[in-house]
Amino acid sequence: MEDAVLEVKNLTKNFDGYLAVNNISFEINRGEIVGLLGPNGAGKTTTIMMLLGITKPNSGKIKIFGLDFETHRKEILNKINFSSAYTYFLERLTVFENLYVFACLYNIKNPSQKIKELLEKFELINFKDKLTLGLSTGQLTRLNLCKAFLNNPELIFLDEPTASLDPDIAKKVHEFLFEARREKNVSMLYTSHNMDEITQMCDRVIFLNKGKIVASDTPLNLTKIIKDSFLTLTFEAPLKKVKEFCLKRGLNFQIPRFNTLEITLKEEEIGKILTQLVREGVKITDIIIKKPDLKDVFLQIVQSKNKSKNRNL
Amino acid sequence: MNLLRIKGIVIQNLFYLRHSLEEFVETFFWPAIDVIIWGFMTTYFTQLKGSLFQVIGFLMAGLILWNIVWRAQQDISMSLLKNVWSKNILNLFSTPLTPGEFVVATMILGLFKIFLTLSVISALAFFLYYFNIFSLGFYLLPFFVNLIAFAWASGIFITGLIVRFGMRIQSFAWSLITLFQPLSAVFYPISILPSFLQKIAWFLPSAHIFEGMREVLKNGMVSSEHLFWAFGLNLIYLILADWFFIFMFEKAREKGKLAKVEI
Repeated sequence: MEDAVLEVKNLTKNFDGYLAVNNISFEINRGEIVGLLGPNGAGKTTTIMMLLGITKPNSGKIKIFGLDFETHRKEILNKINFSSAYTYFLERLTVFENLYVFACLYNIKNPSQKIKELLEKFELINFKDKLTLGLSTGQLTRLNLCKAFLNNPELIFLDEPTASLDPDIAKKVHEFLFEARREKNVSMLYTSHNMDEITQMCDRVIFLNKGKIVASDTPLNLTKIIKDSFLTLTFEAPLKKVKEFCLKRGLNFQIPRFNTLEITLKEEEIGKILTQLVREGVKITDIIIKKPDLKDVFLQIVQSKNKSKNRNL
Repeated sequence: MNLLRIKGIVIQNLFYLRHSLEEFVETFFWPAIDVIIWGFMTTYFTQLKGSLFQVIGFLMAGLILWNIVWRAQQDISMSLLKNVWSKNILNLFSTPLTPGEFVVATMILGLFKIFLTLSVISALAFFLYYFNIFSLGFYLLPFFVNLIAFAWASGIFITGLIVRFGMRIQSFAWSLITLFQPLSAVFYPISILPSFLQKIAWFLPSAHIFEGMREVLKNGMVSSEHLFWAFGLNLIYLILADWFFIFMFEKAREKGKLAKVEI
């Protein structure tokens, strides 16, 4: 095992008969960014809550920095942090006051200086004396990130950290997270519903479904699970001829619009199909080739699990 | 006027009442408490033989000292509720902060705020009604300490309930302590209560303090038995309340309620 900062072994959480997390094991190495993906109710939030000590597992072990979480809770919580788009702050305190409270809870030396640095980094310095009540959702998300980096954490849990952010601010947040990893070797557990973001940010992805880990690999290797690519063609004329062409060859296709065809096929067959279509005299006005991405992997995993469940019924 | 729309709003409120324990309880809680307290007070006044000035003294001292209990208990519970309402609980308890540290912090805060409350209401009582709470003399200090301790124990107990059962019972924060008011005999002596209630009342430190307060105002001294019982009971209740809070906090972690305390 490499330098693991987080080791989870056989973690299980059962809420009065509902198995939210079912015997999962994984680890995060120093400086690694790991994505935690899964549909709603998959067990992502419950897992994070157990890693923060907010929820107590029924069984299993959590080790952080090589220490048992239950017996070294305070010591560990001092070196980790958490940011969620769904937590807020005391509304009648200013941005600075809220961060100052957390600086005390994390025992930060020279808190004012640290708060100022973070507020500048996340472009909130002009809101320093504004009541948290008056912040927009995007500003609140950035305030959460300021709180999350207040104690220079070595491990950080990010629950949809860029939800509600404008693309330019989201990009800056990504850059900041990469910088934190590059300069301070910070490890991160990252959840998001934005698959492109996960692909861009994470070294490794863990897929959860119904409380179980159903896949775990690099984003690239996960997309290799799906062999098919997606070819979208737009034509000048109606599709009658093209439809016959596809039916004759037994291709898997859909017609989303009157002049557009989507074919699901293996990557190496794309060239052959295009050449044959041109030979048939079909005029193609636009070609889009899409390789499978994490979203397709996500859908395949969720759908295949649902299918197997239906088969068992 | 559309009867169906009116029915919609009536039904909405009835549905809400069904799911909201606090609204259901408040529907009868406050009127019931008022009836009980005023009933006992009326009984007391009909039997009273002292001067009007002395009666005003009893009432004013009771009112001022009960405010200590009420405010100090609320401060403890509200400290948690403010964080629940702002959805800040996860942020707070994902730091190294322990439940014990949280409780101690709220106690310190409560102490500070109670001094402010006490200063204002005792000044008002003096200037408006010529009643000087400091006429209780040296006894004011043990009375004060015991009432604060009782309020803290109650506040910690109620906060434990809120952590475990969530916002459905948030109104306990400002209503549950009132349940002890008739039994604490704030405005009348314990002898006014029916005998079975008298037996229960003696288990409340506040009952000993208010009984002692009346003795001081009447005779200038209090029997040490009342102070001894108040201190002893408070010690037991504080230990039990702390244990209960930690137990409920751990139960909330087990049940996953701490992550959803705002529900």
